[in-house]
Amino acid sequence: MNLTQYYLYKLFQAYYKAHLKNYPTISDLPNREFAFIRWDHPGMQRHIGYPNSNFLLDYLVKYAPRHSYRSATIYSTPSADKMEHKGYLGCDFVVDIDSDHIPTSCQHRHNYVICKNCGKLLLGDKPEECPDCHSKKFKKIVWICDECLNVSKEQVHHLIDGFLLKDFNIPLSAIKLNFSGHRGYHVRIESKVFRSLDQEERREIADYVTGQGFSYNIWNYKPVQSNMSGFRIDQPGWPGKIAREFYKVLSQGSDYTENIFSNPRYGNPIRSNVLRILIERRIDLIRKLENKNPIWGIPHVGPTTWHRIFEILRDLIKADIDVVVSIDVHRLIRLEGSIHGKAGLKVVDVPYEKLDEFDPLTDALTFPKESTNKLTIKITAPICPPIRIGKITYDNFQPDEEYTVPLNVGLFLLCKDVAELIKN
Amino acid sequence: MPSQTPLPKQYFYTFPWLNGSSEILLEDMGLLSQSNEATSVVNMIKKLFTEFHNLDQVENDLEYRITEFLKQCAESKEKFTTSTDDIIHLAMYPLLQIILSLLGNRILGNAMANIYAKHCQEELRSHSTSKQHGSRNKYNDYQIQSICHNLGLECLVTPRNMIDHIIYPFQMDFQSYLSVATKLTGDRWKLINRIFVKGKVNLIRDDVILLLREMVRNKTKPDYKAIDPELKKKIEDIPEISQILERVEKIVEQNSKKFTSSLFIADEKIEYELFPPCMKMILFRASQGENLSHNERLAIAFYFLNTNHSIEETVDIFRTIPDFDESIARYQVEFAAGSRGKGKKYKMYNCAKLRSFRLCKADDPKFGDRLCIQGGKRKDGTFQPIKNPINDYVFWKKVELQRIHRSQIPTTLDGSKTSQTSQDSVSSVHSEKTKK
Ligand code: SF4
Ligand SMILES: [Zn+2]
Ligand SMILES: [Zn+2]
Repeated sequence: MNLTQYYLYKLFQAYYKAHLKNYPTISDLPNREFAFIRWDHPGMQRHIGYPNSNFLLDYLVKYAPRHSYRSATIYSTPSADKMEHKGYLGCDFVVDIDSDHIPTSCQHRHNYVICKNCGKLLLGDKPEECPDCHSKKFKKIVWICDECLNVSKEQVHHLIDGFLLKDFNIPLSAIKLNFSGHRGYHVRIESKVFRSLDQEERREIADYVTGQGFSYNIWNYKPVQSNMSGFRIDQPGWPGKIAREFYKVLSQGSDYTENIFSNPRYGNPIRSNVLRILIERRIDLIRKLENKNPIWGIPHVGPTTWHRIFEILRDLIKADIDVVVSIDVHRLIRLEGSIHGKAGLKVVDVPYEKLDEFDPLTDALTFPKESTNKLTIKITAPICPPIRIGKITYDNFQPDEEYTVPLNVGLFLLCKDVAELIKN
Repeated sequence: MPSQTPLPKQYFYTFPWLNGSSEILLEDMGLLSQSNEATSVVNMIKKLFTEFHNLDQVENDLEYRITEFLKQCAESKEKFTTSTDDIIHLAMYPLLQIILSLLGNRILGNAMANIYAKHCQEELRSHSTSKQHGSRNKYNDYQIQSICHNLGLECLVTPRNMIDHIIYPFQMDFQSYLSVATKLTGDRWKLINRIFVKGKVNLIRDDVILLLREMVRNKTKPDYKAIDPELKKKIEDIPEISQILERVEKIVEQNSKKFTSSLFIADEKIEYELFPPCMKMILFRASQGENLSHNERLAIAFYFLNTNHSIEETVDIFRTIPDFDESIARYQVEFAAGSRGKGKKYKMYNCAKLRSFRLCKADDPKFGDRLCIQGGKRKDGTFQPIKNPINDYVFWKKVELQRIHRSQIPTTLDGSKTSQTSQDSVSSVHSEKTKK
């Protein structure tokens, strides 16, 4: 442990000590597996089980781990060290939404890697190898900003509003939501019905909310003579969702429509000449959609283009979730109430009704925002992108310079590994 | 509520897999209030054989019926040849479960499940005619609902539920729906292609019947671990049982083609280790005598035919499945191979298609392969996604195996490695690939 790490350990510890009394309760705690990555120990400590929360809290205070996890699964013997001996009893249905998995424009602005061999700095995601020295080892700096935090939030709305409440008819009270401590959210459903789902059933739900496997054939989307038979806004199921999304996009004007179809988040844009035709017919299409007329034929727009249009609409409707997490029935997820060691933010419950007003960079800060404590740090990374903490944006950090900053700001920079602590 | 009414007794005779059927059987035999000892498994079996012993009318002899039925299974027939609505039909069911568990023969076990499943489907689809009403469904919607409830499927009759000019007389809770539908392949069973509103899947009558059929197939599959060795010995000593087992042995011998599969004998075609997870799974299921879906049959046939297997070898895959009929299978395979019909050889499905059929097994715990998930590793360290089981998977698998192979070849004294042949096999697939 270097000085910075030791100090972080002490800060984490202070946090856990202060929250012993009001630490969140973990459902079915005696049946959960816990796992930690500590400061003083490489690798993950797994297969830990606790008879009650006191033991967990003791551990948290003693080791103040860098990362803390617990299983979404419930086991009869969670501490057994082999899966087959744990006694699987069921697994909560967990959805992980993280802007890590979603292409955003900001990631090219604020994420970067540094070649561990030659020091070359590259913006955006990790490449296969360093263009200069061909090394494959990089230090990765993943930042957060309002854009990526909002993308996660928007996807939570898609999931809960668009699918869980309406289609699956799950009462809001059964849906647990928490901020993951970094760039996303976890949605959990702990009911008996969901706990007993097998992997295939989970996959089917994941496919439904991500719009995978939609069959044009079954939904009767096909050329009818020289026309296209499309969908209606009052249709149930996915066809209606697509029609309503199309209507929503078209209604917001030509510029908006053009932007949606020429800059899709995934896949190829609609070719500009075809897009022009589509936009010329915008008003006509809106009228057809309003009149629930499913014949959308437009000369020069063939089935392939329509399929692409639908795919782009599907990507606007779907909940962009990390499918693997939802299917896996042995998954570890971040422990509620713990601090995320890569951001210094805490994992907090967010009631869905409060999601819009929830601001991770205010409401998930580890220490009270009123705290007047300061830290002196030195920037060690070549770039330290701007970061907003509370209402203030800190955007002028220079490499090798020292700064005295509020506690939460210092904590964030130290956890992000772009700064080190200066003894004072 | 109609759902609360108990099922008529007759249902338990016809559908002996219903929950509670053994109570009906005991009740009919006057044994319901007997002590545990008197109703031990061995005693029960003996009692059944004495109770339904009838040499004047072999039709009504339990031992005869069981033997007849097992013959049907072994001969890939999909029907009962004996009565399906009397108490003997009910009495036969628990015994069949025991016998197949003793035998441990997956192919016979799956053939049995298939016959019960198909029978359920045909029975529920059937019509009865009377002067008064003309022809009408033998089982009305409420009766089907009751059967669903008996099996634990939450399903309600919704008589006037019209959506887009179609009446959907049933609504099933999504978790009940998923529990069965995920065992079926094909786009139409995906939740996304269903009218799914407020937690309910809207279904037409025949959908419910097909779901019930699958449910019955799973429920009637024997539990091969149910009987411990000690009990096994005791049961096998019962004279009727030992006779039946002896006869089954003969039946199996007479139908040996069905019970031995040439599949897993490696040859110089494409070896089993080069088969992608999706195809391994289908072969595994076929070898266990599972009833392959239409898409599975096509997929494996296309795969075989496109990897230089003969029509004969391709037909062989299907020998073990419950409804195997040599002439039909041969016709279909020849058609797929392009020697019949339009004369066009069918191309292999790509991974996207297989995935939509739920046949992709890239992350299956048993057959899964990291290659499918990660893609093939190019020389420059980047990955090429696997998009086709033959063009991509087989190609990259060869590369992978070759790399392992090479790393194991001892370096010669002058430092060069000696591997020529495997290099060739890679380029040959590659040139095949560019031809298409
Ligand atoms: S990725 Fe393709 S080859 Fe691999 S299992 Fe899936 S469908 Fe088969
Ligand atoms: Zn480098
Ligand atoms: Zn961002």
